[in-house]
Amino acid sequence: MMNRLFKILPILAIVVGIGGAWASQAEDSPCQTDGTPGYEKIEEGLPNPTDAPINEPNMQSVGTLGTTFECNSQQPQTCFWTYAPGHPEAVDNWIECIGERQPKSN
Amino acid sequence: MKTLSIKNERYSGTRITVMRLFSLGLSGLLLYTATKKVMDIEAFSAHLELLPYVGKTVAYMLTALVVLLEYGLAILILYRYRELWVYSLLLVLMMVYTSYIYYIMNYAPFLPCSCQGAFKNLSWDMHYVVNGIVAVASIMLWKLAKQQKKRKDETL
Repeated sequence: MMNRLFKILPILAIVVGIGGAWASQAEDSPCQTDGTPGYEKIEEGLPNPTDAPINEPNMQSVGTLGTTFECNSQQPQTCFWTYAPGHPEAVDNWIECIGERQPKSN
Repeated sequence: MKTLSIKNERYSGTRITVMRLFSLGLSGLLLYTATKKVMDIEAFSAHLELLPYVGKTVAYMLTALVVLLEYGLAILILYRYRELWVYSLLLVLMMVYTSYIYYIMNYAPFLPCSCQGAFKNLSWDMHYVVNGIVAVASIMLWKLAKQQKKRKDETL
């Protein structure tokens, strides 16, 4: 009985491990992920950022989502920008997260 | 004497069951993280480019190496869970990951979002905790595997 169970469990581990990763894919948006570093434009009129934050003189840090600020998603404005190269939602490596930025309330 | 032998066998059976269950958990975790990296391979590779002297090509090579290593280790832990070197390799991997996180948090020109990592809501700090748990589990499994091997050698 135990031996049979231990023969099935490795297959279960493979299915759960790989399947779990696929299942959680749709949820990954930096705009909703606590700990995402946020940036804002120093001067609004300038073009959208393309380079890494260190090379973008018009971008400055606003802290991290969920720690220093939150976004009220009801408001159609830019809550923060985040640098996420390779992310499917990113345009020129940056993602614009929508909402009204508010200081994190404890 | 017979009672002692039965007790030893029971203890050994429990030890193997514990090893099996922990190895299944670790293996599932490695398969999960490796698959997440494959799904967001561009992002993972871009994060590796933050390391010193790592260009685009090296980052892609490192990405492939890490993914293959994680899948390979996961399969080894599943089917070779009594081998000591498998757990040593896992421990080394955790130490390398911890060094990488330390570098990212202290020396990288900027902190990338950790949203493309293994766990959606895991901050960079919390990665230390996860690495620590995996490292402790691999040390424990290494010890159990060693005891098992010693016992097997004694009975031969």
